[in-house]
Amino acid sequence: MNSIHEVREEARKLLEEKRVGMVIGYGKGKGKKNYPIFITDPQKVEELHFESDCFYNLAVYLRKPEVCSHGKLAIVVKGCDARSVRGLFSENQLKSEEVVMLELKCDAKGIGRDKCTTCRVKNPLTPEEKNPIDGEIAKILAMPMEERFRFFAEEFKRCIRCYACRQICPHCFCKTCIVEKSEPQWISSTPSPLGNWSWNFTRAFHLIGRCVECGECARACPVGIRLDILNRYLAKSVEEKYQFIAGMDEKAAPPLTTYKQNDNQDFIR
Amino acid sequence: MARIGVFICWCGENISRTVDVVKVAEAMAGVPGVVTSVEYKYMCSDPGQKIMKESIKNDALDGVVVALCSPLMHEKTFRTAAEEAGLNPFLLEVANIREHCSWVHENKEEATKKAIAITRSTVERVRYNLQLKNITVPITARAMVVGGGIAGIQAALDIANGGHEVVLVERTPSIGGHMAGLSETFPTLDCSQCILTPRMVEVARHPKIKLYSYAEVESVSGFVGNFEVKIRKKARSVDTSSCTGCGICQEKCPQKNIASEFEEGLGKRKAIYVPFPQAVPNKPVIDRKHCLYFTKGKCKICEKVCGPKAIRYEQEDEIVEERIGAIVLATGYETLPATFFPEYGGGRYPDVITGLQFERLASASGPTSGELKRPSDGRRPETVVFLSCAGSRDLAKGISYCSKICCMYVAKHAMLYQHKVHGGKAYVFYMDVRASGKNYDEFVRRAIEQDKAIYVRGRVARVYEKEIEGVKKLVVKGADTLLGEQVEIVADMVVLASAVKPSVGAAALAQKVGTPYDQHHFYSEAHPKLRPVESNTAGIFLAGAAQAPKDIPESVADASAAASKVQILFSRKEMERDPYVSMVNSDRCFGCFSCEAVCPYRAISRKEIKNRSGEVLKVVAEVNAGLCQGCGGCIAICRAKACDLAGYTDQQIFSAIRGFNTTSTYEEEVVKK
Repeated sequence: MNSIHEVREEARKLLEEKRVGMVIGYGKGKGKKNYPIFITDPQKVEELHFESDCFYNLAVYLRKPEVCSHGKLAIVVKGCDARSVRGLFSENQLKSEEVVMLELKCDAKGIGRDKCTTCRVKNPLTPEEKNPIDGEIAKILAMPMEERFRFFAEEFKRCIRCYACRQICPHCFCKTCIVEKSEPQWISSTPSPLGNWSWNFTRAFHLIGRCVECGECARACPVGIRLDILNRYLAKSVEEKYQFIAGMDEKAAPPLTTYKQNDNQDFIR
Repeated sequence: MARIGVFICWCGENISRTVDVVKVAEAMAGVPGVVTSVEYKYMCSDPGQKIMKESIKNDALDGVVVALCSPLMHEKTFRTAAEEAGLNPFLLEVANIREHCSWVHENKEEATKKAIAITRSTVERVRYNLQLKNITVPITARAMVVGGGIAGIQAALDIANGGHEVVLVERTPSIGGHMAGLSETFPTLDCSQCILTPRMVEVARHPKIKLYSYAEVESVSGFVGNFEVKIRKKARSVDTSSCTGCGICQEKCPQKNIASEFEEGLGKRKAIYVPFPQAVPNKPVIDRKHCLYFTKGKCKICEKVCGPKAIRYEQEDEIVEERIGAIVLATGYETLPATFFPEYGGGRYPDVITGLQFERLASASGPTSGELKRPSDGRRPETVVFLSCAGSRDLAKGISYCSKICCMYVAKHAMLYQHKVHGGKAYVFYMDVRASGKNYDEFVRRAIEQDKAIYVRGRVARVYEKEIEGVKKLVVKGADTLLGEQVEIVADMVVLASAVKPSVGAAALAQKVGTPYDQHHFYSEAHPKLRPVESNTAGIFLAGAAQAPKDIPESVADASAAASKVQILFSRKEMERDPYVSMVNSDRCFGCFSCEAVCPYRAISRKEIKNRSGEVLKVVAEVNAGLCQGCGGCIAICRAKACDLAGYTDQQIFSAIRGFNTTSTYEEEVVKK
């Protein structure tokens, strides 16, 4: 779809014909800010709104019980969010027949976020074939190992274990997270350097080959930890080593759960 | 509070020489939850076991640690004893203080400390042991043998003669395998077909054997005792029930210049053909790639001449399903083609042939009726050079292993050649002669001493063609490493003992069946010494050259061994298995099914969790305990930690690790005493 008007029309039709129970999209708040809105009344589709700083990844709402209870859902998606939705399809978290994606082109220049400067999914259905290293990752890669270690240790020191990163992430969909597991407890749940280190790296590892680089974790982090750098770097590694980009094709076999004789192994030392 | 008993063994002097067992017992007595801690000279003896049994009853133990030798040695002994005393056997664990401690250390104080740590760690683990029960699975006493070569035939016959039904699946139109194409066999020089064909007929006639020729395994699901196999019966284009095997179709077929697979490309066959006269079943098949009707749409001569009207052009592949309890993989081997060796002129010069091709030339049923002739011009070869290790033991060719059968068949070839071409010269280039086997070395000596084969130790660098007096000859250039000089032999024919490798599709079949194979795609045995014909997947057995290069006697012995393993399995109605399988906590599971994707045994299925009114609340993973081998793949991939391994739970492992380094001050005092 090319404009928000078309989205509104489609949303109205879907709701009127009762093909979906709810439309998730962006609305304009009182100030200049954009908010996620949830529309069940076809009369209210005019509230749907879209501009370049609609940065929320709305896919995270698709699995909230309050939203799911409305039956089939329609969701306004930008390129990065569409990847999330397809990722959820491929991981059996959603059925593709139960979600209607209202795709919108995003000019991805909005707010000067790193993820937007290297965006290749401006058009949700036809991603471009490039994955340039953005400035932040390049900076990390230029550091010697020890310095990299220090960089992340410093970042994670600030973590207050509020788990906002987990809550905002559409792919952190476990009902009970590993950090909440006791007997045995894998990760210390207090904001200690060791626990913080385990938590943030475990979460990053859990997202390998799954993260769609929407950058919401870093945006949600109240202490400004650059989680997006870590996740984007891992996504890039997966692409280089296994030629796999998460959320592009819901039918593609994810690299971490498939074994091939000719799998790249040169990074195992 | 746990009530754990610790029983420490001296193992005569084996443990007590380097470990102060009395101190270990004293130290363990101080661990919270340990109600009794004793040592004894020979715990595994009857009185030793009695001490443990009585303590289980009298002290009302709910966990037992026996500190002694490797669990491989005596875990079963003590678990049985514990069960006799009324304790669930899986509440007993072995702390290995012999192989892991006393045998490998000298310093008594340090070794004692380590024995204490090992035993303490095991005590901490036992706290979290679960009361497990062996898994029982029903068994379908029906076997499938894949591959109808000599190994498959032998396995099928043995199992069937044991009274069980067998489904034999063969990819080609006839059973018989490579052995059907061999001339004579070493070390006795008896005719290969003469000893094989009666076996083939026996298979065809056996009431307990169901033969699917020209068929392939399509898919395998299920688990030991309960496999569901789909078999693709490839379209033969001939109705085998009405065909009488008269052969008129083959005679009249106008498409006659097709290289015969059975003749290794040295002979021709028709488009409708029986691979060889003794084929079982002796029914033809239409090769649709070459048949005029299938390629050009007209001909149908075979249909016209067929008396019983058995030709079926419209026939399609058919999928049949079979319920099977055990599978024997006997898919055999192939050898590298001559074209693999451009340095020897393979593929370029028609007189550079492989060992299997030489077999056909030497065979009485072969394209030359057993007369040795050059494929190029039909002349009698006056000089033949045999190259052993063509590709084998050659890392440059990617093959590190010895093909094993070549040394023997090269000697046989040299011998057969001398018998057929009197006064001819047979040269054999070899790296070393490996003739270990009953009457094998004598056989090679005979080839050298009696039949005057000329053995040259060294490798051949290159073979090229040269015209001498109007005849194209092959110049073989190599080195004689014993004399330390270059040799050049002008030969009429070069025979490559080319390397043995698994047959095409071996790996694909292994993937369907779910059994491991090595880097060369040979099937992997469960244990190279103690379980040589079993695969690591329960219910899958191996026979013959699919596992490694093997000669006929070995393949037959293997096949009988595998058949006997199958019959052991079938001797019971139900089988018991260790309960070390994965478990899924359906509360934590959120149904991403990564576990399903990584499970090599297809043990994960999807389970719907419903509420009382039957609505599906969520779909979670479920483990089929009969299939699960406890490898732990699902546990590693599960992000929510919903999977856990019975008998080796995360909690047990954590607790055991923690137990290693929690030395109490009490223990320190005990050691210092």
